[in-house]
Amino acid sequence: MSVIDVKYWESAVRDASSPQLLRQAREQFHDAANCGQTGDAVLEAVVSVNRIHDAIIKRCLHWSEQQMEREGWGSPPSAYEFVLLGSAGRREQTLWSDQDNGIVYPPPSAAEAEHCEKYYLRLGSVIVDTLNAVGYPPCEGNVLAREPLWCKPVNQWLELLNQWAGDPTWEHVRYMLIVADLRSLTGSGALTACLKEKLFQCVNHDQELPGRMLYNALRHKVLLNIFGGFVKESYGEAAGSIDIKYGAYIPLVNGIRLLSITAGLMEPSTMGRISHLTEQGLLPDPMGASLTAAFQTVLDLRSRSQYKMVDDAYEGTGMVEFGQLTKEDKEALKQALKTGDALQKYLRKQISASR
Amino acid sequence: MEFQLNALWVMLGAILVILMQGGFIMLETGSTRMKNAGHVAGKTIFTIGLGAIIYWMIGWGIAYGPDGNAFIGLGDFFYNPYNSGEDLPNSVSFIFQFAFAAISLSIAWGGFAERGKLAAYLLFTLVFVALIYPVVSHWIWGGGFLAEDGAQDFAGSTVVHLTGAMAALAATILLKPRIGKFNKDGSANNIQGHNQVFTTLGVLILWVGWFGFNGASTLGVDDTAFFGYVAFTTLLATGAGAIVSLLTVWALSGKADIGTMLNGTLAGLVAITASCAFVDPWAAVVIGAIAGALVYASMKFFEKMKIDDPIYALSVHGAVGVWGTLANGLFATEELAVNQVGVGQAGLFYGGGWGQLLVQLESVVICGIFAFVVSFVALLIIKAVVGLRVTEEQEIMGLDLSEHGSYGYPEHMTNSGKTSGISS
Repeated sequence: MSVIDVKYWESAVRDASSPQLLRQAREQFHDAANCGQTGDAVLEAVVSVNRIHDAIIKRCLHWSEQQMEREGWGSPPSAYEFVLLGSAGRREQTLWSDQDNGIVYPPPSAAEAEHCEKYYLRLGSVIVDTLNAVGYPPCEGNVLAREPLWCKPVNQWLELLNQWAGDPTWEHVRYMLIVADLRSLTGSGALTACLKEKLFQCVNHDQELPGRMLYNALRHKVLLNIFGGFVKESYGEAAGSIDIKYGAYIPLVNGIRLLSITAGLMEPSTMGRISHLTEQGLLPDPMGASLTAAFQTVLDLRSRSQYKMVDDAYEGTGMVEFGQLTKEDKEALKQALKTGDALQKYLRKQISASR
Repeated sequence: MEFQLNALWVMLGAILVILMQGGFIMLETGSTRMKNAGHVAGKTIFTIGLGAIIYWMIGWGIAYGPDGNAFIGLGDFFYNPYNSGEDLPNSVSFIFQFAFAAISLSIAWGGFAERGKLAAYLLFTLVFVALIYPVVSHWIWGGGFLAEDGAQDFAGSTVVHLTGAMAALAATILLKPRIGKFNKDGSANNIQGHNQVFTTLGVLILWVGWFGFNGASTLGVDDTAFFGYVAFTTLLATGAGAIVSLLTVWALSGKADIGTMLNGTLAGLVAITASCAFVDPWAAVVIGAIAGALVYASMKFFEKMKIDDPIYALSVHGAVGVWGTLANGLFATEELAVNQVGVGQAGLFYGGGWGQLLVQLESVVICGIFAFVVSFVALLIIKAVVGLRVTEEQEIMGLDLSEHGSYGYPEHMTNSGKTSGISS
């Protein structure tokens, strides 16, 4: 078992002088990091991998700002926050995650509004391209800093949250859940905190919203059939594999996220959320312990899932070949799935009771 | 008056059974791809037409000819039924029996789907309608040796369904899987049909037609209008098949798969076909329910065996046809078997011992092997003479264009769209 030397790789990232060289460094990092950690080492590895991802993204952001200057835009007009969403926001990216990001900037004066809007949208576009060049494919759902929906001054973000809360369609609820995982990579984090506070306020003042979020959180079921057997993929290249991402990881993430939103927790990582929820007595101790163990198992298996190169970028499948799992893996996975199932039942009970 | 009533009822049954071909057209077309739609639908009509002539020339004589023996009927070739028949006009009887032969033939096409040559369909129709089906129907319904042993197969779980399925099995083995069905590593791909609504409507048409298929197999209207009871058990088993298949696939895969439910519905129908006149209502429910679960297990089994069964004919008609026939040996009641129908004896659960079950086993084994072997040999010969499968290029282009020169959907176009969502 080897430990990832974070300092070494952070320095390798800093030393890369171009996206091409950074990509090479990233590939070397893949080889070094992809060496089958188990147990506690998995959690450590996830933390380390995400620190390196953060370093790479920061490096790309630095080059993007430089390119903006070369293009004649000058330096950033205000103290903006480049925010990460999805698994990056939760510090749970795998080696081959894609990019989900956005920009939040301080409310500009009327005179600066147009320039700011143009500047940040262009910056968003440049950084999405730069990250793509380094091997992070853009998110298919277009949750990207180059999109007007995800690149706004904080006052408009707040308005938007109000609108979504007032009209909680499936899509709007999904956006609100995305906001819950926001994490600022640059800047003070004050703007991001402001958005999250607004989100919690909306949820706490609305009788209907938690229920709506519950539907969304329960959308992906754990992959156990009613006899307690694993539900595997039946067809295609992944036949016989188990979809760890959507059948184990996402149900846990979604459930814990919803509990955290209703509790008003700022913490974006699932493991951190479980700790806070347990400490605050919002999760019974035994459930907190089983969720920690379950999430560790799932992260471990997720790190072993297959990935492939698509359009010159890394793409994880989230699938793990069932036949390659040991007896212990299968037992741990079954326990994790049972815990996921129990979490979904607990959520249903908690949210219904609070309405 | 009884003669005329019998004629009317059985003629109505024949019409319903022939209309079941509409169900097969919808079922098979909906379960296959758009590029083959016109071919899949059209060949059914053509082969029924060809089958009608062959059955008149040869098939009827082999099945019911008066000069035969325990193994084959002889006589009445190029049959003229004018003004003959004791309880039922022979003309009506012929149409009814032909309708069954045509159903069995359409079941066999399940094994050819999406890659069989038109010429192979044509030549196999000759063999199947002139020889394979008539011989099996002679054994069980035409006074053959299995009838003498007391084999119970009221409307044809074995005669019609298993025979057709065994021909389909021979065909799909010789034709080999469709391009893209299995990956190099042996895993299967789900080649989805192009229209689930067609498939569903097909199943409904079959279900309705089955009241003629089973109900008119009473071959008349007796004092008790027994056909009503036959239709009643048919209804119960089908309902049970639909429910259990859906619950089974839902429980095991987490998805309430419509295709499996439709196959389960048909499985209920196929299973009760042999036993509809022999069993109590509760047994009809059990027979249909087991069929509903069995069909799902069988679908998975054939896929695991890397046998491409495009419209699941092997499972719905083969595996379930066997179950339906064996079920008589378990659930047949003495009152119905001995007093009402007058074929065989009570099953194992009704005090009849193992005897009837063994007779039922004998009939599925012998008929199954016969239908498979003769079909296999016939198809081997056809393969050597004209070939069985279209070329790779023709298969990719679709049989509508390659075999018939025009599309079933001339304006069809593919539509590719990506779903979106945040990565996690």
